[in-house]
Amino acid sequence: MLDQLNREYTQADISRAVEVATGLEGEDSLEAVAKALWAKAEEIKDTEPRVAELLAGDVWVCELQLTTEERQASGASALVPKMTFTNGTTYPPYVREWPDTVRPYFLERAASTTLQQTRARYNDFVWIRWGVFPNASAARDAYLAIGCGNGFRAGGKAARTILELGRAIFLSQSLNLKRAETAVIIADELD
Amino acid sequence: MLGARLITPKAASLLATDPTRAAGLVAALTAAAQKLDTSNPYWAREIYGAAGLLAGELKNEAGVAAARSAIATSWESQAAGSTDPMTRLHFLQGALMAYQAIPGSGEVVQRLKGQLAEASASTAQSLPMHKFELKVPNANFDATLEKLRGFLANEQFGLLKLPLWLGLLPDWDKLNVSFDAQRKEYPLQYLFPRVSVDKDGRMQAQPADEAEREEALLLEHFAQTQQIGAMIAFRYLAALRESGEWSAAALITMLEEIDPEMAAACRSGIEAFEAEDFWTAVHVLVPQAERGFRNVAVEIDGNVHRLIGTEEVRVATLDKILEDSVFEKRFGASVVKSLRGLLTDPRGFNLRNLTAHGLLDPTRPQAPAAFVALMCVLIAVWLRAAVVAENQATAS
Repeated sequence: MLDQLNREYTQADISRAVEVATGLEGEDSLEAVAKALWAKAEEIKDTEPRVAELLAGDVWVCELQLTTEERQASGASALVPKMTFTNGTTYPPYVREWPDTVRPYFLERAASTTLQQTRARYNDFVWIRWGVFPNASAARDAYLAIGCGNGFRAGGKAARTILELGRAIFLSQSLNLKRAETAVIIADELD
Repeated sequence: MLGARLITPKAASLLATDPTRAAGLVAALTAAAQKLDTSNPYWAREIYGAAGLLAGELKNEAGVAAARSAIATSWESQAAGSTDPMTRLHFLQGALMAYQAIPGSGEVVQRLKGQLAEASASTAQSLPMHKFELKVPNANFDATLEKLRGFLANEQFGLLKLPLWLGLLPDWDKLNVSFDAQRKEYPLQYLFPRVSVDKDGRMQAQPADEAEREEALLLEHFAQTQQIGAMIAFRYLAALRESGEWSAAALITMLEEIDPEMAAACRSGIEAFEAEDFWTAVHVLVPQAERGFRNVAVEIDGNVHRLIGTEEVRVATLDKILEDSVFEKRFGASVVKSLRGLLTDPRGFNLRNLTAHGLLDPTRPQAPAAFVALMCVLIAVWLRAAVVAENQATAS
């Protein structure tokens, strides 16, 4: 699946893909972004194949799932595939399998995206895959931004909020990222 | 208070950096849990757990104790209010585990253990019994019997090696492969964790640790194949008995020639086995198998004694004898695993402990147990004879 991304992309390809992806951003939701990106990738796959590949890769990053601290304690990455098939392959691919060729694209996406959900996702992805420290800090900020103010209301959103804030806590506590500030924000949320 | 789910060990340690605020959260969580205590005990316990975790980070021992105690009481109340045996069993397990985490709860734990055993027994009685039938094609049976006859005719003291031939000492690498194949063919039965309960209240849950769980499943597979193997073996024994190749007298005569002490010790058990008095046979032969393995240990310089305190020396029990590394070194890992699986491992056939502690069920057929006991006697005598012969050869 990732073979098609394991090629050199020119700065022009990357800039163009980032421009297209940013232009598609509307609703602050990973699902909505992934849907729009996929439609665009399909649309331009013959005319701008390199750009379409990067957009498809972007969809896969959006489709990864945030997991619990408990699962991470047993060795899982914070972002895990949605599905594992009987032949051992997964959808999307494991974070560790992503080629270095797409690193510049995701660094740019992390810096330029206009939505909080995607900001959290790209920054966290870049931190987990390539260990770029400023991205961990940006991911922590974005997770707090999207997780706070939801009031842990019952329903599907509560589970996601817990994952998002849990990830912010994990990053803050394990990387010593503004711990005191994070503690206050979380305590306010719990009150 | 869905936010309680957020309080993981990492979150608790982060929140504890502001102790005053965190103490306020402990109080808020406890109050929220108390409100839900009866209306939603599951959720109340989860919130108490979060409060306890946070209190622990604050070194607030009273807070930790209060949370644990509330959790334990909640489980116990649910158990008391439950009439369905399986559900009651689940609640009692929860209560027991929760009380075990509270220092000074020994008395409650003992009381709950009694209730748990009672609930297990009641659950076991209420479970439906499934029976199955195994058909071995005659053609296969006849061909195998011919091979067995050839083996017995060509081997000196062939009956002694019958357990080997009948698969009581399998190669565990191969057993692992066959288990994996079975799992692939019938994946559903391995999908869910299982708890085994016995009529006398014994209960065994699958271990949480993956490696231990795999080992337990493999041992269970071994015990099941031995159980089925024993039933098939009775057909072979019947055929050999008919032709005079197998009888109590033949076995006892052979044992007298090789190991007169074991022959005398096992005589009544072998006779009971041949008279189909399997209950007597198993109770005579299992302790004699232990004697036999102790004799083997003596021959290989294994440790057959254990020191109690600083002065008293007692005879080592079979599990300790088989755990001794000299056993594995001399006979290999597969032999030791098989013997432990047959005799001393609670996750396997566990025949030695079930017999020694009066845990065999007299209302159930004991033919497989008696068969395994007899085979273990033969294995012990064979191993010792082999070691003695080797030692003599080395000395000369």
